Amino acid sequence: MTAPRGASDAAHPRRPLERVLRAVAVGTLLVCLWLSLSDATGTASVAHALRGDTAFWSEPSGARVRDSLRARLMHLSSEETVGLSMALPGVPAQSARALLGAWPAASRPIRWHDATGARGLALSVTPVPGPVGGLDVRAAVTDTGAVVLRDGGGVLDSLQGAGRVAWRLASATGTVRVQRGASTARVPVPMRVAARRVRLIAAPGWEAKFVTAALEEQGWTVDGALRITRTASVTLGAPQRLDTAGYAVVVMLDSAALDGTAIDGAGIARFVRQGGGVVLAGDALRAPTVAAIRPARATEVRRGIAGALLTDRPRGGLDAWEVVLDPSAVVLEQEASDHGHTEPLVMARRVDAGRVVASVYRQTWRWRMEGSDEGLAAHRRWWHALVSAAAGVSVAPTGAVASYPGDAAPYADLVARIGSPLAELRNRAQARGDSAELPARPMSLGPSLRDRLAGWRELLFIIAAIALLGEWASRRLRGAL
Amino acid sequence: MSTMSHGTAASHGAAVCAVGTHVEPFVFATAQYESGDWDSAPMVPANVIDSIARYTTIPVRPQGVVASLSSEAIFQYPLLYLTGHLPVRFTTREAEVLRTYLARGGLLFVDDHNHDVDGAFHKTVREEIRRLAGPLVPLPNSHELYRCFFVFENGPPTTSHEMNGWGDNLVHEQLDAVLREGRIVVLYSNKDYSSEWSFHPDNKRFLSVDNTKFAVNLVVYALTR
Repeated sequence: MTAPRGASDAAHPRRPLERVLRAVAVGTLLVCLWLSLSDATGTASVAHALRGDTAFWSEPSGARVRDSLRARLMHLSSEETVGLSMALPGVPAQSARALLGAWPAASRPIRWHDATGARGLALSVTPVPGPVGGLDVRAAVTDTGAVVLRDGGGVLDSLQGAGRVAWRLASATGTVRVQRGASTARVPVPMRVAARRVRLIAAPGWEAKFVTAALEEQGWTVDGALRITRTASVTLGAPQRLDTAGYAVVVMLDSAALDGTAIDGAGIARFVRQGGGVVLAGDALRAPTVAAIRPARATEVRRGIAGALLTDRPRGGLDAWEVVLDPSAVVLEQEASDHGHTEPLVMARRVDAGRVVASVYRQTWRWRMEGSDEGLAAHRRWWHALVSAAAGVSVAPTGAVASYPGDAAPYADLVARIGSPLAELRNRAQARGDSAELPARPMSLGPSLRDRLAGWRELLFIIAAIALLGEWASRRLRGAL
Repeated sequence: MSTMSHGTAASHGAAVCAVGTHVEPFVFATAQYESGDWDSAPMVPANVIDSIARYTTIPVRPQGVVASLSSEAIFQYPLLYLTGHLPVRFTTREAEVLRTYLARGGLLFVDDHNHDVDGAFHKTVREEIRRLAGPLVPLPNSHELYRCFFVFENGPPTTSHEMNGWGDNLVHEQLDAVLREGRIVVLYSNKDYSSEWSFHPDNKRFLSVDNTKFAVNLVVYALTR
């Protein structure tokens, strides 16, 4: 007598194993189905596999981050990934930020958790025009604490401050850096313009003498060749070839001074177009050789007012040109005239990369010699201001400007490229009372289960197949259907 | 004694006029002071002006002017020539104006017409200069004053009075100066250039040696440094 088939089948010792195998197969197939469906709907994000500590992310060159990111992002791109989520323990270097920034630029959002500990910090380093030179360093910080200033040679200074801190450096080497806590901003030291050297173009006379004296007393180095005879000149300083590497500014005082010198109007025009500064004063506004670059054309001389040199408006005592402005000129200083209109006194005109500044006054030396006791210093300041105005033009856009804000404000640059971190988004949303667009829970910052399983599709298929085969074989070997 | 009109400054007004551009001509100015004989070398201005016009293209006014040290009119002439034989004692006003003149960048050339280190002019004017501008120091013969136009390898050229044994019977190898920020503000000579540049008929040396060339250097230096 045999046991009923159903009873023996249910009691067979392999039945539990077969159930397990069946469950594994069904489960695996369900996972594969879920993965396929999630790919089809495109709602899932692929989490990154990049790991690294603060030192890894904050490496100044960014080479390791860049290489890792490049490889990983290329891989993710091939998987038609729709977004990234990650935690950043440090602010990546500029090249790495650029790579990350390409992701949202391709309409693939990045959600990131800010573990950098960095705060808003921005740095500005600009050369100070004028013979004294130096660098004007300004940093904006969003919280209080010590701000440390460094250059290529090490620590220069530290200040306690909030809001804005500033330094005036005589010089710096390499890259200027400011650090506030975990935040560091960097700016390469700007190329120094040869702002100390001035080329004087003038005939010998008191105006040339006292303009030279005023500029030298302010620290400028003045070169020139003053023509004494038809063939001989007296040299001031060590005149060099006129180019922006040697001179910051050309000062021209009269219309005939170019005669017999090695400089011509074309040379001056080329100099200013390449970024140099030119000051045209007095009779130089009548010089036909600089007609193409002058901000104004002189027409008539307005005589100085007798005795005015000793008043509080001493320049009224100087002879001055009445001028017709060039359309592109900008009036820097003017005064009301007796005729009911304004008379331009100082004008400027941008000529390509350089600037031409013009002053209407003639024989300004009288202000110094014949004016009040303040005249000496005032004349000196006046000429210093004129020349500085012409010298203070940047010669060309720089790379730092082109990639603004770049390392001058790295955290701001990061946010500008990949958006605000999740906490910030959440805070803003809460401030607006709108949290619908944000996940209720913080995103998983490591690779998600789905992401991990997605890499195991082949293995899941093999597991499912083996489980089904095993379950089927077990049943057939024991004679079950 | 007279003070001549003072060029463009005297004609200042608010008028507008059309003018061509020009370089302001150099005006040779002789300092007038109350003590002593400031006008002891009346031929010097004309001869120096002639040399400037002859040797250079620097515009120069044909006539010199006399500028009183007690008047701020001297500020119109950043190079002043002062000479004499007699003791010099500047008045309070002259000292005040001259001190300001030097502080603003004027250059005062003082020449001892006596050529005598024991002379009254020498002793008194040096003291006055010391009081106004500081002590005189020897000017090196390598100074650019001696090279800015004509080249004087051995420093200041000798004068007839030095070689004839007149005055102190010395050949002064150097001039003295007060310098500020590298510029000469007072130049002092014991060599009696006032006689040399006057072309006195009793001295025929000027027919073979033109010592006014040094005056040209002085003017060129003053106009360019």
